[in-house]
Amino acid sequence: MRKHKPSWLRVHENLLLGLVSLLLALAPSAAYAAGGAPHCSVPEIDGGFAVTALGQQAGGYAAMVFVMTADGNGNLSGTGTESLNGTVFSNVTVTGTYTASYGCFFTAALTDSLGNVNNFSGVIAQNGYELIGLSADAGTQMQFTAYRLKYTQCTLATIAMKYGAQVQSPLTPSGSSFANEEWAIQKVGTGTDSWVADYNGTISQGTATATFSVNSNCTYTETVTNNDGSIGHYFGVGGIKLNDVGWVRMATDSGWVSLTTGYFR
Amino acid sequence: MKKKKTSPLLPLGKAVFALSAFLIAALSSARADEPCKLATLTGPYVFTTLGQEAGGYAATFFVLTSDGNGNLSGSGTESLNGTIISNVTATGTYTADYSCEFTATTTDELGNVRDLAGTIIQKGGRIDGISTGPGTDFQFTAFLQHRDVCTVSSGAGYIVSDIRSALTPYGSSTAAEQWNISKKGTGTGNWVANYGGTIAQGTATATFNTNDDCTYTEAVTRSDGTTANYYGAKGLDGFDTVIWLAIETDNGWASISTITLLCSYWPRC
Repeated sequence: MRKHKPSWLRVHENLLLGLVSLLLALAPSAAYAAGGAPHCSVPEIDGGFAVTALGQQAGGYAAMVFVMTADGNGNLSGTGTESLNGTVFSNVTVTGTYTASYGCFFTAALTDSLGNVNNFSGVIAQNGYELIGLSADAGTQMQFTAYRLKYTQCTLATIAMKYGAQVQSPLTPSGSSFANEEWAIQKVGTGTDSWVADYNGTISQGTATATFSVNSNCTYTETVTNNDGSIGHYFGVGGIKLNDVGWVRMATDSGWVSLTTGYFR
Repeated sequence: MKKKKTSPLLPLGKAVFALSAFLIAALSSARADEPCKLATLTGPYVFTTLGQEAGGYAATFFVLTSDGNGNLSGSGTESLNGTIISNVTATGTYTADYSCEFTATTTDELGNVRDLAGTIIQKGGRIDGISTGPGTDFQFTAFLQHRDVCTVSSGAGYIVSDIRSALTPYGSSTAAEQWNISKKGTGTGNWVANYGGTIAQGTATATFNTNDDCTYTEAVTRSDGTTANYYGAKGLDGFDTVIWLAIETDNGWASISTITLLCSYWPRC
């Protein structure tokens, strides 16, 4: 004899299925909340990353911005720009290897096309979407950050938004500097900005306009014309969209070692 | 001919749908271009600065309450070239213009005046900027403290600490730490640090003392035998996953820690 489902089950079948699905989805979260240890592995670090480093290296100041791909098997490759004590090298390629421990520490060893070898280590944060670390070579002192890219292909529209930006410049022609910028970037590849800067204790402020050229791999170049007549050039990586960070960039003018992080407004 | 049956609720349903769509679009639009004003900044903010002032390295940490009318008041801890001064009160004024540009002047009870300028982002949840006082060169960040009551278990779990130290007894330093904080106010961690070009790493344990107002003190003992003390604030819990901020309170240090979640969403952890 064919059995029928109880009427209450028929009525609430979809509701029950939904609740079961929700419980299954929340199970890992519940395990974490209950004290389950997070774990990381090499395959979890895969995809595109915007990689930055800023600090001191080889007796001078250094900044680098790369777009890199982690293959999930411990290999890195990418391209980017470096400023080594104010000498800027563009279109630098880089290859390397990385490790990710079960306890969510990482190491990365990078060799660029100039022959520079850089080792970094640090912590895997934000579920593998952000790596926070430092240079691990004797005689160097650099802060290291890598943000996973949200997009694999970018256009001008990808970066069109309003941003606040923090600029750290240990080396400029006017000494070290901090600056803060407020950007509105349009889909047509232009932007307007108001900024305030502190050059080694001397304050200046103004406005600026910019033009952007975005490459499909989410790197971009930017030319900024300030209202005081000065012009700045930048290389960056957009398409991050990790929580609050939208892009990172570095100055590509000789004499500058400068890194900017753009935050969504 | 059979007449198609229509529900009397259909026109109402369409109207509700259309109204919802309109409201969603209107709210999204308003948020995208929301102007700022003094009242955008209302509530307790955790201000940290790190850089140079008065001819030396400095780090400051203050919880300042913004009254939404241009006034700031609160207390905190300062490291002025490595000399730690705790329980310092401060007052100040601020401006917030339509385009979300921010300025502030704070004066602490020691007589130190700090002029700040920057940008309000995340609808008042965060302010980034720089010093604008002559002879100073530092960055500041302020996060709205979303929680006003905390316990020792607040923020328990796995966290990541990004530590920038302009001044330590060993030169400047950058460090990254990972902590497992228990609900009982203890923690175990792993760390890697770069002290002026010398790399060190190890493990650590910590004990936390959390105050009702979400400030806390932390005592860390590292596997190399060194100890460190911090004063911080929990309860930031904002959009960008920064949950705590802290300043090192050992003499000889000018150091700020920014703490985020190791895992902020499932199911990856």
